[in-house]
Amino acid sequence: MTTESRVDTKITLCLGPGGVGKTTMSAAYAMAAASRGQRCVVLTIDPARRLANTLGLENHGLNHGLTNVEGDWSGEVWATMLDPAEMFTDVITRQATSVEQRDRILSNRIFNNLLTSLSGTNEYMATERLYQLFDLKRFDHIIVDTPPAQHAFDFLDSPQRLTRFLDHQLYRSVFRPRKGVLKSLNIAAQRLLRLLGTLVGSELVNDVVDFFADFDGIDIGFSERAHAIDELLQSADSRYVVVTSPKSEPLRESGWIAESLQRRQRQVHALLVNRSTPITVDVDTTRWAEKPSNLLEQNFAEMFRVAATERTDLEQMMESSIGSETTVIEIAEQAKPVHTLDALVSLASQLQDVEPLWTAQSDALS
Amino acid sequence: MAGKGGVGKSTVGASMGVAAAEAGFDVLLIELEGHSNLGAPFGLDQLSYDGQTMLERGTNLADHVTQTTGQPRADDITRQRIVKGRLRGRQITPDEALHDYLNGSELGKVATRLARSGVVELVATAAPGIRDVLALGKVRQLEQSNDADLIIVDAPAAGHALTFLQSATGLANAVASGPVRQQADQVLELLADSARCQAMLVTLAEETPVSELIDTAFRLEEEVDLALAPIVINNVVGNPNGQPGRSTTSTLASEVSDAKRRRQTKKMTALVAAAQFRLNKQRAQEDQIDRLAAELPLDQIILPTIFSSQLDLGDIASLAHSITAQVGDS
Repeated sequence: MTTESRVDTKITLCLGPGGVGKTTMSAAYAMAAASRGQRCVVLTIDPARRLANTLGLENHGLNHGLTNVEGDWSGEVWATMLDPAEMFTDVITRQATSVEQRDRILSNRIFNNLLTSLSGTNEYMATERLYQLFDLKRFDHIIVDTPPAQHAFDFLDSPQRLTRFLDHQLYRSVFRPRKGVLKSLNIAAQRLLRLLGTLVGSELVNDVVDFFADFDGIDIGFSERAHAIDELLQSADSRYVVVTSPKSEPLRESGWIAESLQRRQRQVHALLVNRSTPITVDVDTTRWAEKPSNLLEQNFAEMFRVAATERTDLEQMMESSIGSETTVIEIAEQAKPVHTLDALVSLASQLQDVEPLWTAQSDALS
Repeated sequence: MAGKGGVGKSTVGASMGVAAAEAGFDVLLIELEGHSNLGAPFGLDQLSYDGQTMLERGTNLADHVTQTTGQPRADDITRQRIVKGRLRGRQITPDEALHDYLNGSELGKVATRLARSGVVELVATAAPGIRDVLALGKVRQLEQSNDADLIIVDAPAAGHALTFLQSATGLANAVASGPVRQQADQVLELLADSARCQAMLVTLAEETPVSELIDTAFRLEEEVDLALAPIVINNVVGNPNGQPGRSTTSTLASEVSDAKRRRQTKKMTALVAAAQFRLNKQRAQEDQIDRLAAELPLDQIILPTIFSSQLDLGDIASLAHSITAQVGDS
């Protein structure tokens, strides 16, 4: 590793439908990169505690801190799991202008409700965590195991959403009235709030008002950070990999994910097709699958049909949603599940041969 | 219906709906958030908020499948099957439920203005459970209106399903009074009443999905006080040629050992490898099914893998048949 690569952290974000082995692939991806000497960290955001199991760390558990995964590689593999509550507390502590302000926010009921609910908060905290890891300047490569399917976009969009929210005229008029907003607008907003109180109860509305009032001053820091994170996710340092299985439903969702990425001006760097049926579709096998006359042949014919359907569906999806120039890596289904470190390492070796992984100082895109 | 993404929760929900409609129930299938495409096999593009009929009373299922898919099916679905009840579907999004709710409240037009002003969005951001509670509140309202005999709700994926179902508890803690609090209380009452509401969990016979299902099941019982219906294990690879039974009863294993003694042509090697793959997979799945049975004392409904790319009405009807066969008259 050269010294300049120390500050040149690359990010790979793995997106995909639920149940296709995204976490496993993220871990294998990190191992493949570590075998090339990179210092990697896998960040998992998925609420399910899968990464620890996959990496054989269930006894140590996996938490907000960094856990080292030992293995036969020249680089490093670290793993970390998002703890939104801890992250949020970190963020508030960093941004608060005084200890009193910090304590007020941390004891607010709305704040605690935000912590226990998944909608939006977790995703935003995940981007904060990603930025924190990036800022450490200690890793060559951060691999992000995003939440399944559309929730991945809650993650990608959260910095922008927060920025929009804090820039919202209503928010400014109601909660930051001292910043010179027209008084009449403020009164109208207050009336709306009273109305809302009759609907959801005035306690909730008061809590919300208090909560945002407590945020006075902090929101600017939040807003700046959100901008920075968004820029990082848009930059050439971030790459997007779509993980899918070759079944029609996940392919449909992956197509949607790829299109949604492209709508956000983010290119799909590679498509990992996990668990494809291990039968080659060619002239020979097509012939062997015809007119089965015994059980062996019937079984082969059934599996051949599955493999052929996977092929057609995959090609169709590539054509309509991704473009055929994108790298595709197919990983054959293992009859026995991948849940040992050894199995994962062997999976990583499959990625190693074909995947143009980030290499220090060489960017395939440029 | 709850289960992690990719387990075929929506397909199972639709099949359950068809099975119940066949048995004479007036069934309402509810899709939340609109990503599941529940309507597609029934020839409906997108389900509307107000609902559509998916299967009319008295429909001959076999004829209907032939009509919708353009080809008759060779398997058991061709037997005479008449839909004695009916099946309808609708999509409930939190935004529409909110709109509906505001329109129905005495606040009327003012409420609409409130919604448009963005204030609601602001509060919903701070107390996100509101949206979920409104969607569940709509389901409860349909349940109370006796609109159907059975309502099947295709819930968000597990993890998220748990949050979704916990939304009422969270909100009840944050909101002390007012109509939304009332909604949350009513939803909690519905969830806790096992005579009115049960969760049906769907999984695959694989390590991680099974582990997650066990975790979700315990948490649903403990944290949401929700009763559990039988578990559905989807996508189970059976014996070749649709023969019933487990891998141990399959004659495939003996054919493999016979074949190994014969001359290994390129073809024979491929056939044996394919058979070995299937047997290994069957065994791995059976291990998971047994583990699930040992760790979670609930009845299991096992559904076979459907080897087709786009599931059509014929496939759904075939799964429905499999459900009926296992559930019987209960």
